[in-house]
Amino acid sequence: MRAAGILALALVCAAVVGFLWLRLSRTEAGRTPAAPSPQTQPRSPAAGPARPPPPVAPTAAPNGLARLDPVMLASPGATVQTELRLLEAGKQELFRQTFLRSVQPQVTAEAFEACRKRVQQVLVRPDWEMAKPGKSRGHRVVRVSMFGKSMTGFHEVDGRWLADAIWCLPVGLP
Amino acid sequence: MNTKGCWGGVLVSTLVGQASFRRVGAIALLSLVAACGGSETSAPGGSVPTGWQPPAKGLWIWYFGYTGLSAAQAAQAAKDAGVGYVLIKSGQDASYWDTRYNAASVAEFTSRGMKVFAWAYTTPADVPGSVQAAALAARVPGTSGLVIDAEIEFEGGHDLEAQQLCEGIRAAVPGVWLGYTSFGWVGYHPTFPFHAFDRYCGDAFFPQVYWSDRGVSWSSGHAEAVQMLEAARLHAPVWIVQSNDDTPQGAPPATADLNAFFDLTPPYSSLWEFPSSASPAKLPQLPLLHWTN
Repeated sequence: MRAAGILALALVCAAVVGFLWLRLSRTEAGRTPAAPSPQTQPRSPAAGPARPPPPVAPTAAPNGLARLDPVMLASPGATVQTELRLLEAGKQELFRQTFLRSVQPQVTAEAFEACRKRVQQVLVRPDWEMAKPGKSRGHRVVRVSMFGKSMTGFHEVDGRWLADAIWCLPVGLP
Repeated sequence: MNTKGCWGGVLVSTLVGQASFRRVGAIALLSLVAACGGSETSAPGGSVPTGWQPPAKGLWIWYFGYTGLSAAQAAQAAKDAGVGYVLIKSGQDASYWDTRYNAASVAEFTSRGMKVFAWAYTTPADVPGSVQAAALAARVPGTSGLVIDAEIEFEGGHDLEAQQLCEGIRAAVPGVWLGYTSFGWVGYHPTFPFHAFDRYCGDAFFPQVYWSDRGVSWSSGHAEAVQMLEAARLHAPVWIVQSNDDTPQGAPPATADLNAFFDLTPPYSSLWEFPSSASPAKLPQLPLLHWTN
């Protein structure tokens, strides 16, 4: 009788230990690894090819930089106004975010400064009345003439209207 | 814009999307466009100003909403300032803006003694469509001629499209006075088809010598532009354009400097542009300029 009680207690203990072990291992397996940060994980020259970076959520802050509130890019007109405010405020990194990803590398410090000067030089009054709506690669696009000449496209990407050209750069001068 | 029943326009719109077809068949299609356009409008444009010398210099207008004035108000302001002719934007590529450039708005200027030219900003993207749109503008009663504004999009080997554009417009509107405007310092744009435009759209060339935008003096800007024009050996009569845009430092060009440029470049020169209502300081400058030749 006494031996049976000890055996039962041992079985209960084994069951509890097993349950806890299983739960712990499941938690470890299901945990999402943290996104590596280039600043905290320097690459070793001998480490071989780098693994592709994990996908970044649209609202994540890349490299710790602030991201524009989508409201500031909620329409082509809002994007233009935001761009003008950022130029005036000297916020190049935020200004860069108002352009399509493919255009962003062109938003250099030099381009930003040229734009900043240009919008002080000429009045920015896009011709919205004659703007042309369309589609490009599944995105809605609105093309508008910013100064009466070339058209700039504003593409709706994830709810943000992003410019496809640095429209504020002077063209043809000299 | 009446394009209903225009078989040429429909056919062109359908076919120009095919890149392989574009160059090969464009010239044949342009004839179709011309035939189509020719049947749409009965009234010809205004007089062709071959040999015409304006009594005063010209003023470019983007659109009346930009100026904050109606066509009548803008025309009266231009007349009061002493402007001799105006150039009003009539469209963009294949779009002709009949709500902005029409017989009524043109008549506001012609009735006050000014000649009116349509100008259309055009790229090589849709030459047949641009021909059709330009032709519609050129045929608006009271129009003295058409100016094609061709700029950065034509750089990089678009000579054929330039030729097709100009020839297409001339075929669509026989006898049209057809000029072009582009960069003012031609030597800095070696891949722009100046010679094609010169040959086929060369009733006048309006070089945009925007010295204030560039931040140089009017005299050095003018001198370099003239030297480059001579070196380029273009043949079209030069109707030189200056701008009242601010300098890169944000300063408006001085009235004396604008006048010095005008004094040196009679009788065809012109000013970009009729100021916006949002730049009220520029409007009072208009009557101070030396418009009269």
